[in-house]
Amino acid sequence: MGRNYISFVISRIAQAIPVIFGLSVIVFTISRVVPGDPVRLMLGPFAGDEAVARVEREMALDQPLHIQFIIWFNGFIRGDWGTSLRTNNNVFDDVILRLPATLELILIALILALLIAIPIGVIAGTNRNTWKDHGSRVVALAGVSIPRFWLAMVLQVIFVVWLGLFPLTGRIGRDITQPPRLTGFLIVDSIATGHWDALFSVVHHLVLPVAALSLGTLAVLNRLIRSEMIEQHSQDYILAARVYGLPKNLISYKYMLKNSLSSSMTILGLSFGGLIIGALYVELIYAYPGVARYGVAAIINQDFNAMVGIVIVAGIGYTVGNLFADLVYGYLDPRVRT
Amino acid sequence: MLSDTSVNRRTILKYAGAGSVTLLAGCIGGDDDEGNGGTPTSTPPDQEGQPTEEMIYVSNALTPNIDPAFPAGIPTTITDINFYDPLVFPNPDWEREALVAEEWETSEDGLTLTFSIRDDVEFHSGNQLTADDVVFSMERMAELGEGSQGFLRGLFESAEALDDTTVELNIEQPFASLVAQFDRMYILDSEVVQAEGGNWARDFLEQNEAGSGPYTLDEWVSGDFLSFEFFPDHWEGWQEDNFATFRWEEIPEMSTRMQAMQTEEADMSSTTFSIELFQQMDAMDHVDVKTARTPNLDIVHFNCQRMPTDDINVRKMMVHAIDYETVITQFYHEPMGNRARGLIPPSMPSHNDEIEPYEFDLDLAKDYLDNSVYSLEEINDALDGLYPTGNPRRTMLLLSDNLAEIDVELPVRDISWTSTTEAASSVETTPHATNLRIGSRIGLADDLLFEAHHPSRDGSYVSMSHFFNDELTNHIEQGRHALDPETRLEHYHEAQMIIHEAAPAAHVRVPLHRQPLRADVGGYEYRGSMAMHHRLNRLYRER
Repeated sequence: MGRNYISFVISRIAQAIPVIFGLSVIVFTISRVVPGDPVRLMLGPFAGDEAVARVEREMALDQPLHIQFIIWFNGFIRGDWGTSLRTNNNVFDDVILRLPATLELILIALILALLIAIPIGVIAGTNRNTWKDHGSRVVALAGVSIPRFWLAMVLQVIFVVWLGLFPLTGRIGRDITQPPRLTGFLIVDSIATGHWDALFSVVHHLVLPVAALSLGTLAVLNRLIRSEMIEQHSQDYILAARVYGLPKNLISYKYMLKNSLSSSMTILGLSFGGLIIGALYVELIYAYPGVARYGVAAIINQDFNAMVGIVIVAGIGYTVGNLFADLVYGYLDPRVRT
Repeated sequence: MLSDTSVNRRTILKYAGAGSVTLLAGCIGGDDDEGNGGTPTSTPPDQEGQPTEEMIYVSNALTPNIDPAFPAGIPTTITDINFYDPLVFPNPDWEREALVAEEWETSEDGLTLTFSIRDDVEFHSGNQLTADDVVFSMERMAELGEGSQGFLRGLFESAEALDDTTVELNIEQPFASLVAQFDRMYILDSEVVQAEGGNWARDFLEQNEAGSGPYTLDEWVSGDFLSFEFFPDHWEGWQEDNFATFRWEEIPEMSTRMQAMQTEEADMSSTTFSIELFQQMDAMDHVDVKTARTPNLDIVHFNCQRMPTDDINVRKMMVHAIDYETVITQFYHEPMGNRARGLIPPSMPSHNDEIEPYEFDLDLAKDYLDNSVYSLEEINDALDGLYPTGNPRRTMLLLSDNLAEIDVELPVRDISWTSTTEAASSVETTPHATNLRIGSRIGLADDLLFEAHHPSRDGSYVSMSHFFNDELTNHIEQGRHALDPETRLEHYHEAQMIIHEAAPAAHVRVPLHRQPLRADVGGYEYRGSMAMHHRLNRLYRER
């Protein structure tokens, strides 16, 4: 890893900072100018004007917008993201409590999507215009056209209500003792502390949300890998490998796939952001106690501070996802470092 | 099939016992039209067994704050009524009966209330509940002036403990429905609260309870779930089939809540569902949808201070353009008996039976349109209507369609609830027609009249008609302060008639309370006062 790559990393990180700051300005402004009176919503219709004024004062809502932003941003960088109207907690604490649940869901969905998309994409790409390719196309079409919230509901009806195979809601069984919080990732914590019943329960609770969440990403990656595989197939080095008599699977999975994956990295970064958005619906349907459901509830209840916090977290997720993809891509292909 | 709130063997036995106590204890105050005085029907402690059952409750929202002074709605009432004991409690007939207050007496001038309280109530801390705790709780509520006890602010003069079990409350002016309001007079453990520092321990009580109620706070992940555990020494006693624990989970999505009922993961759900989902749940063998009359009203407010709905002819045109039968029987699948007759629902004390509801009649609507001081063009240029997202949509679309038949254009749109409350905050931002639900917190006329049509309450969604006048204000205030029940009734009847004749709103329907509940959960009784039916030690698992 030379100096060239290190300066590339630094420049990419430096570019991400103004993006996140700009996002915070836009999100904060939008959250304050949308119609609605969150304080009256919080206090109820019978609250007196004095109570409303007191809460507005406590939340600095009686200040001009730019002053509100300065107060908010000053607190934001110190971990004081303001009080959630809905939970009455510091939004930062709420996010930290719930973020591992969402990351666990998204990462597993992403891994699952990759594990399934790669072989399907390779098979479709190497068997162009056969029934295998057509089957892959059907999966891809379904994946991109079925809304995640609808799929989540259908899976719930079939596998919970009709078949009774999976739990309806939550992250772990009510009667299961949660493992001590080490990372907040229940799978990791369960394994690290030997809570095997908790591990089983967590995985059991993850099956349907992960299935609902991963299908869209799986579809996109599958199609991308397929088209890259087809492109690689016509390259000279593949022709040479075939002339040398290398086994077909070796050519497909060692040479063609490696080159196909490098261009999929960009999409993978974007997929991470897409999964955050998808998690909003999936967590809502499965009452999964993650940061995405927290975000939806914040939007429904016009919980200003929580809305801003969640959108910025999602923005950071997008930015980091893309940054990661950029860095990997830059590592794999030195030409993009310049 | 929708079933009425059931009266079973256990309920009969309970009320037979309670009735005996009533006869023995008597009630000095006596009943009146506003339900004051009530019937002391405290149930003696019953230590037959310890509860073992668990209840799961799923709802669209949890409370963010468990301080009884926190101003909120149903979620906060659920925590309040289970962590704390109030002085009085509404019965299924919406009258107040004794709870911690065994008896109460009102002075002849209506300015002093004397409560005799139980001597066997213990706080969760182990401290004995005394008159000093009641005085402290009254002073805290009066000083903070928020939450369900906001009414004490401006009314409270002093409170004094005459002895360990007697409290004297002095107020600035007579208040007819005062005793009814005391079903939210939650008694705090003054020793615990005072030990937690200044500002009436607001910070402490936001996250901790200091009560004597049937349940204690077990675990709380704000925004996710709350769990309660029964308080073994609660003075009302326990039975084995009561619920030892109560887990309250937030499930914002209504279809998931319905499936939680369907899969028996939940015993009870909050009541925010579409009518179709209620019907689906009621068709399930193991789910009952309990129904009961309510002190609520589906209403279409007309903004009486903006043109053209400041003209009574335009308002009357609109009340005659609503097809009430279709709304009630087709949209909500309810009988026409649920048609509203004025602002005060017929099930409420003080309802004026002389009010004849407006009928759907487009010819009459056209006549009123012709009589308006505004031209059709002016009306069509100005009119706008809205409804909070959800069930009211169909009513407003139907009204808009009907008006179109007489060439009146009422564009309607849905907005979020927060935007509705903001729109209500001023005359200028309030649309000409808004369809929503309002109701009395305590099941009494005073509450609803005051919140909807007293000028001091302008700015809330309940008063979106912005209809106030001196004569009406006078009747509302006279009714509120009248000591004589007959006089009070006259004022309330007059007030209702003034409102009805001015048509500041279309009073459409008195909605049913619909509570999805597992069929094996007994003891559920709607009490007409916000979420009081969630006093969980009254519920049990039928075996």
